[in-house]
Amino acid sequence: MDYGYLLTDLTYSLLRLLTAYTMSIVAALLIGIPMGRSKLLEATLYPLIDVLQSIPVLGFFPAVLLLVTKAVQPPLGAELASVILIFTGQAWNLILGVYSAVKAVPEDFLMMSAIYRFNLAARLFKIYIPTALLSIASNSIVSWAGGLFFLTACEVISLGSEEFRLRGIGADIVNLTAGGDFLGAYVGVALLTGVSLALYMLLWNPLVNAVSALAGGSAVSYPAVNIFRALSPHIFGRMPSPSNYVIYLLSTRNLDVVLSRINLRKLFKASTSRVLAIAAVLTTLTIACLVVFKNVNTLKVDLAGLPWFNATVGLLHSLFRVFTTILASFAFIAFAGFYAFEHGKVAKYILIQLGEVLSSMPAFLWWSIFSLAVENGLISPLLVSFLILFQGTAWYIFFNTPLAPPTEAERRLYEVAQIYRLGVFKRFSRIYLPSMMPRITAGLSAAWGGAWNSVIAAEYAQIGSKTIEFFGIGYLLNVATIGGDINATLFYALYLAIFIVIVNRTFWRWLFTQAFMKYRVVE
Amino acid sequence: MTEVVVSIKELEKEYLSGRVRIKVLNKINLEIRREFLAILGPSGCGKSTLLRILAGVEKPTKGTIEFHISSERPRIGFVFQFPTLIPWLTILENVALPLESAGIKPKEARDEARKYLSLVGLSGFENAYPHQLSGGMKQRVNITRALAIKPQILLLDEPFSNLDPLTAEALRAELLDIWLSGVAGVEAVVMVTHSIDEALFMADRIAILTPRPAEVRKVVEVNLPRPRNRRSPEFQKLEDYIYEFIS
Ligand SMILES: Nc1ncnc2c1ncn2[C@@H]1O[C@H](COP(=O)(O)OP(=O)(O)OP(=O)(O)O)[C@@H](O)[C@H]1O
Ligand SMILES: [Mg+2]
Repeated sequence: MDYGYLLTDLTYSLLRLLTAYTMSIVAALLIGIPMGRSKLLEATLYPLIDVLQSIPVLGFFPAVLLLVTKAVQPPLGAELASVILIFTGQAWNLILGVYSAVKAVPEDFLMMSAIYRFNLAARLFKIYIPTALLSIASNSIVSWAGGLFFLTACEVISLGSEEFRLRGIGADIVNLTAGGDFLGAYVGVALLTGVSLALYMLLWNPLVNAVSALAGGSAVSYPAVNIFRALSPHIFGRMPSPSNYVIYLLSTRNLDVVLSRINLRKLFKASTSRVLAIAAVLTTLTIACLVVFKNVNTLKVDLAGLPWFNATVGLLHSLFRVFTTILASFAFIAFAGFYAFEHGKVAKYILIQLGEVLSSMPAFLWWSIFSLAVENGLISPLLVSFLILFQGTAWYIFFNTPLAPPTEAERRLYEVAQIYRLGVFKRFSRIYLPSMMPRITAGLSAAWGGAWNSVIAAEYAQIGSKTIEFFGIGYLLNVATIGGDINATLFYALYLAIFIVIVNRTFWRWLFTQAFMKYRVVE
Repeated sequence: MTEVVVSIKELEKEYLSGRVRIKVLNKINLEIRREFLAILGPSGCGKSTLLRILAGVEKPTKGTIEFHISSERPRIGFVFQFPTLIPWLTILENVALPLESAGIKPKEARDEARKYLSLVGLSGFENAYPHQLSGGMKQRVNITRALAIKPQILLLDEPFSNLDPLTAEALRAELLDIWLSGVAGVEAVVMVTHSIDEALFMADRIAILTPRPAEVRKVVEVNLPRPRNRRSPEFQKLEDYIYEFIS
């Protein structure tokens, strides 16, 4: 067999990722910087991005694809739609990162630039853009992973009788798996994973290391081949470097500074009404689009005829899965993080590697990896389904927790524990876990969003002769998409999104505020 | 009063910073007696490192530390520069936590903690959380936590440097009272400080360190009667004398 075409397709996929990543950087600079400086923009865009970040874009993909392909000629239309999907996996994190970094620029600095009458260009190029770029560099690992996650989903999708297929490694893996060519699927998986890991080792990790070195401290030290570090003076040397405050932007103290500047309560309060306003505008826009593209006849919505019952029961099924997974990830991260924290280098190294492997796997890959075992009944599909959910959930918490170095104040607490010889249990329950609570809850609420994307991949798969089905909202979405029922697809996606947003704005916000108030460590 | 409690011999400490070795402590030889010993040295010379090695949380690269104390593992109280109270535990729980870790039953640990809190005038604040206390009160809790475990050796790392001058002075006097009255059963106090004045006011002897890598430059006996008067000519003379070794 000749799998040479996989290499070509891998290049296509990488180009798609790169295009989306470039778009994300542009968006982060264009949106993040003004957002960090203007109260009005902050109050309008923050809630919008907050919502966009939390809805499972995978559910909306079929609708977006239809719209875009109607508007733009093939094959460009499908390409554009897939880049948009990847973009949504990368951009929000970068935008919010730039926003909070710009927001965290110390007052002294701004006062200085006011006293010396820096003009807009000077402020932009000497202060805001360097700040933003540093934030982008340090958030790129998470963003890149966010994009990779959608790689398989964005390259092949069948909508009823129509099949959209792009040349790409993701599409190849899905097809090979569905077609029962497991060897080919393995070659594809190996290629993709290998390239992802190589990118981590050769690009992202050294980049983050170089950036944190620039910031004056090795905030997080990633294991990496440090060619970048050797190059970094040439690359970063010419960048105007506000290095005396940049440490703030990268250390987790950043979180404190930002959160103390951002009046969360006020922002949340103001934002609820804005979210409603934005939702109204978006709905109008969507309908307008549909009208323009003459999709109106398929949009004859019969409210009573919509599958309310299915959606509700499906949602409850999936909710149970998501809930269990979040608990499992929480337990895993808490214990593994604690172990790595206490046992230093080797465990931390392993955990970081594990996190990077996990985060760099497109959700569908697990089905391919276990395809042979599932086909032969060696492994329960339920387990694979759980793995997909676990992966899509755990790494959000992961990047928030064990990788983040303790702040100075936290470090001192651990020193107290050391000097007074607290036992393992006490160190875990009285010091480590509480001190991690704000970050873990932040991670959990992000994971909650991620988990729902995974649900869509975890509840339905085609493996050789078998169709794997687990009833839930993800399953319903898949079936509706395959059946070409765009109304039902949109309905399920909207139903799910609204549910997620409501839970975010009530439960997760409450939990985070509690954790933040009670467990924040400041001197 | 000259009985040796701790002997530090040929102590060296190096840190690895990337590929560069940084020598922080160089051949430290020092005997700590039943006394209040102050360690004075320039910023960044390795004072905290020395304390941390004494506390047993850091290992020396070379050299030994011997404790001439009946128990095999000395009980050590440590007063940090910052209060470092655990924000999600009450004052009482903060003080009781080290006691519980030392194997005392939770109930007894709490009683003991309560006793020490009243000793430093913090009765009534047992159930408060750290953020409800003023800076001076927090530092008092920090000291109480160190005393409550009945330490044989009390280590203090610039304990008064983050307080306003009035509160600092009051706490110095309080700590001296506790030490001189012997209520806490402490055998030796080792206090790191930046301030010649503070060292002279409190200590029996002052060990002066050189800039990094730190060596013991000079040990000065402070034979001034207590309570000490900062205005007295002897005090001022000693202050000038020590200043010579610092600059
Ligand atoms: N864990 C560590 N790794 C590397 N270097 C360290 C470490 N801890 C301390 N150092 C270095 O050792 C030197 C001495 O530090 P130490 O904190 O002991 O000084 P110090 O005399 O207490 O300073 P200060 O007066 O500022 O409190 C410093 O240069 C510091 O950078
Ligand atoms: Mg120090």
